[in-house]
Amino acid sequence: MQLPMKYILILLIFICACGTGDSDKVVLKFWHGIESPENNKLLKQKVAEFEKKNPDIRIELQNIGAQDKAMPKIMTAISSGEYPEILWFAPVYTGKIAQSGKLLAAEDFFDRGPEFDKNNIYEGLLESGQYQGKIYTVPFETNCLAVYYNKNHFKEAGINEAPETWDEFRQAAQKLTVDINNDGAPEQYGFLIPLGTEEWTVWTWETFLWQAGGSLLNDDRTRPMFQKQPGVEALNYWLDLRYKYKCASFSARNAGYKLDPFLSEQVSMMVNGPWNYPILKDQDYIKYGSFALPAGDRDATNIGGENLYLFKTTSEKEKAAWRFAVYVMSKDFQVDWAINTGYLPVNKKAATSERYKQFLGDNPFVRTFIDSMDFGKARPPVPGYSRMSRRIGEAIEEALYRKQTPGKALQKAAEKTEEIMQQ
Amino acid sequence: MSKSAKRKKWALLIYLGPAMSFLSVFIILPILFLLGLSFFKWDMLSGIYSFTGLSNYLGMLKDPNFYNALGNTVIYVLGTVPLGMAAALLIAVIINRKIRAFSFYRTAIFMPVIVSLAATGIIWLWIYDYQNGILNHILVEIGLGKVNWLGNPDIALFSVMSVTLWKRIGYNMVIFFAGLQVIPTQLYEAAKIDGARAGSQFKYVTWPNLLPTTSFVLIINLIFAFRDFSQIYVMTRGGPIGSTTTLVYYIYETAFNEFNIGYAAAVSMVLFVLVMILTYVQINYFSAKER
Repeated sequence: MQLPMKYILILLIFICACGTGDSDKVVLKFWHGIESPENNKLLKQKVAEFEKKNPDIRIELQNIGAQDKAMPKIMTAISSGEYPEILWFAPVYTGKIAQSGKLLAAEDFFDRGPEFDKNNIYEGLLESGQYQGKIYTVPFETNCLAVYYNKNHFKEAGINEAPETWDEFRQAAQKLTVDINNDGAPEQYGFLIPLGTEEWTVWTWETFLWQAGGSLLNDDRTRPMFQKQPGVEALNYWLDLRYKYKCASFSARNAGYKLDPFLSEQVSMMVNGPWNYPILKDQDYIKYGSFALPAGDRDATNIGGENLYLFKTTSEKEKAAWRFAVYVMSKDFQVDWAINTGYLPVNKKAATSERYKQFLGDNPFVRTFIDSMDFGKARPPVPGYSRMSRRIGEAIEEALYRKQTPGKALQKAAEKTEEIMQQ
Repeated sequence: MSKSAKRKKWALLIYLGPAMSFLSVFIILPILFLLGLSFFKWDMLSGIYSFTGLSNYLGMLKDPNFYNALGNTVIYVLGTVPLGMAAALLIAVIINRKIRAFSFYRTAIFMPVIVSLAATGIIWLWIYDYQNGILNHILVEIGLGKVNWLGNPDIALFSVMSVTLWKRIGYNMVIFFAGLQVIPTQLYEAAKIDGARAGSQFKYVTWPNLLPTTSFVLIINLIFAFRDFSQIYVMTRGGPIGSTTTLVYYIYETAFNEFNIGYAAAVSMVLFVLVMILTYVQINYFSAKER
């Protein structure tokens, strides 16, 4: 037994010695759910640049998979205390996560250096990361929704101008619905309705709710409003496209964001965001373009994107994490990120920079989204949002399957939302 | 206590120790914890437990989603277990006749078992796809219309059940096949001499001798069927309109999407008791028969 013990001892010393190699660096775990390989590569590159400028900080990247399915992972991580220092996640969950008491309020760091001017960041984006009147999370990247369309289909249907209102949009969809082999069932539909109960469906539907003049919650965000007349109109509009005018098809359930029906030319128009631009650019099979969502009573789109969540750890790590956040929101990072990924910059100086302006001139596809930001709204980051969203999703699905009228389905969802809001 | 008895006790402890500690840490303790949780409301984030007595259980009685999940589970179990066993037994008997290329059939039928459930789900998601799936493509080619296999709430549960059957028949078949192999051939010879035909041979020789195997397969299949999750998670996520939400999926939804942990724990206890009772009844029934 004597000999092995000695070896083990030596091994232990060796391990300790190796471990200390990095001990002068602050190590930050950064969890994100960026999916496309190109964007992941870019992130690594940008993080390496940050580490070069800040040799005392090391960022450990960890991909936690698709965002729609990440919530359970994050919640268990927080409740077991195994959370990262930095998290990349949709701003709408700020309230939910801030409730845990483990989230830092980014606002407290604004004037603690390095240099950061909150006036450079779009106000609406900072608001989307608020909890109880205080900014908790700060924007990493942003985006919004608009319509993708198939240029060849538009030409064949003789449509020369992008539809601007609900009526024009419906008429266009009707013209774009074609029964190619005359078997009574169209092979090409004008529009794709995102079927499902998950966030994508609800996120898309909210734009129609706002266009109809409605809102999700009342002004002090305590009671549901989506079940009122505008909500019913928005849902009826989808139902009419599908059943009355028969010019829209349903997506596969909970897969309304997938490009397959659009790329295989089964639909001519779909609602989606700017982040698919690298994929669309990469193919020359179909000619595509984008235009702003049609207006009902008013113009509206839904602002998405992701925020940085900084968690309470040690003051040293917290400071380092904030330095990284400032780096991410800087003009240089934002311009590089926006030009390469299709996301939109969160920094006004980045958006108005010469480089980015030139990029927009060359890429009208992205310009649509930048222009739409003017009438964009963000989802209210209340703690109960995710549960309310699921209730709305269930109502939309019941109505789309015609198991329930839009009015009754939304009413039921509103009653359940009342309960959620009271908790 | 004599020395040898003492030694025996130690030996028992050493042999059973690893398995018992594994079981306690990963099965028994969690079950007890779950039982406790079902009387609480637990906010995972802040870590606050508040005792709510029986309210989780009482809430279940008034919850239409719970009844929906229970109903779907019953359909799912009744639909997959008897059919899956009967088909597997039939195939095992046929293959046992040493038909030509029987090992090829055996392998082919067993193949789905070794594919992971999540992968199976994705494969069938493609096959079932409404627009581009091969199944609808074939239906259209032979002049029948398209069917919305996973999108139609009246059909979706049966589509999922078919996938389960596809996967489970192979597993059952191999066990039945093994059971058939150990039945002594003399018994069949004796039956033949007595003039028994294939049908009577099955009834009086195969079936009774296969009883221990059948009982094992039934218990395992029932437990499997009650806890099937992956194919539902991958293929339908419990929808459309809750039509494929079984109890296990409902537990997952309530716990990890709604974060209503206490309520999910209560539903889990109901499922636990249900499976316990069924297993107990079966073990009693079969051991009485075997005696």
